[in-house]
Amino acid sequence: MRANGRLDFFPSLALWLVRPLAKLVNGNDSAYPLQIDRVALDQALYEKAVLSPYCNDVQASVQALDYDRATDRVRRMTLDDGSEIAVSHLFDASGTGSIVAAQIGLARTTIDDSYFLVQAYFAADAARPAARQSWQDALTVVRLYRDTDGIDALATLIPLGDRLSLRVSTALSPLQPAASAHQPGMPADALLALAKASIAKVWPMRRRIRYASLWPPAPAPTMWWSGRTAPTGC
Amino acid sequence: MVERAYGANWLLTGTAYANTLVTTAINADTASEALYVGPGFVENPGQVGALYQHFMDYYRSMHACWRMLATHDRLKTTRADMEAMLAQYIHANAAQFTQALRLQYRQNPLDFGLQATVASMDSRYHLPHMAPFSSIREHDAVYA
Repeated sequence: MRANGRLDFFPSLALWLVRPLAKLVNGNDSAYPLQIDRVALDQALYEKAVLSPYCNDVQASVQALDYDRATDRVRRMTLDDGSEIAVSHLFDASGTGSIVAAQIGLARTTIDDSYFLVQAYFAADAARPAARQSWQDALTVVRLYRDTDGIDALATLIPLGDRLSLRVSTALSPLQPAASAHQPGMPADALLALAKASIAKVWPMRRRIRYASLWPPAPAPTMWWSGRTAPTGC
Repeated sequence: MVERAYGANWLLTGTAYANTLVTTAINADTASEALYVGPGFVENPGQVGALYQHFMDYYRSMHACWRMLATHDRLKTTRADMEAMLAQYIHANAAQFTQALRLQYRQNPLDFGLQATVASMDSRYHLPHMAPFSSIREHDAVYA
């Protein structure tokens, strides 16, 4: 939170030097000229790949793989529409539920102690201003401190067009009422509320935005867990 | 994270291989790297797969940096702690960049002054606080 505040000491630099130069190079004006529009980048990469004459875009999920353990090769994959595709080389970008890792039976390990990610999506409502605002072009990352915010956590707010993703990472368990005497648990809703309050403290300093009136909350947050032992109910 | 990032004819990218504190970063970073990995992996899965694995291994050190940023206690953190944190962050970025160069210029490392880059990366004079890997030279056997 404090880091975000300090960045606001340099708006003149961005306004008078970096922004005009970036506009000259990029051809478009942005309040965050040194950042990449990630959503547009992903979409552009996808469209470029699909337009390639070597690409055949199939909207289907992979159900099973024919894997030869002796040669360590994937030979064939079966899609959910029943069709089969012979595999020459397979690049798996299917996310944490990797179909290759699951079907081959690759072992999974953790690179850190237990960590929790609470994520909620917020939908835009009618009160949203028609004009795009500059904060919608960039991430907001806020470090929450126990002494001022009530919890040690990292909150990330990601604008996604007509949605807003709020993620809070913490070593606490949002699922357990009290993980230990030193790490009391916190319900996911309370954790999100803390993060929203902390972000709301930052935003008015930057753009004088009334965050709560713009983005009504989603009904229920989703929770992700990463760690050595699964908590109860996960 | 999964035990390995590649096989004889398959390769995992993004969170299919590992997830870190900053999910968006690993997806963008490793997916961009796949741009250089793809053609080479088809030509030579063994060498390029090993280089890609090293790149992904170094990516793990970024998680340690983010973890420090996300969990440090500001009331107990000293200036020396912050300097160590930043040094590790810089080294993790630079080491990852070096691995990316090795992938991109694997057929002619002199194109980008890669040997000088590696020598600079390996200098403890410039990097008092090393990343969790002792030396990036340990992977030089790939070129043998």
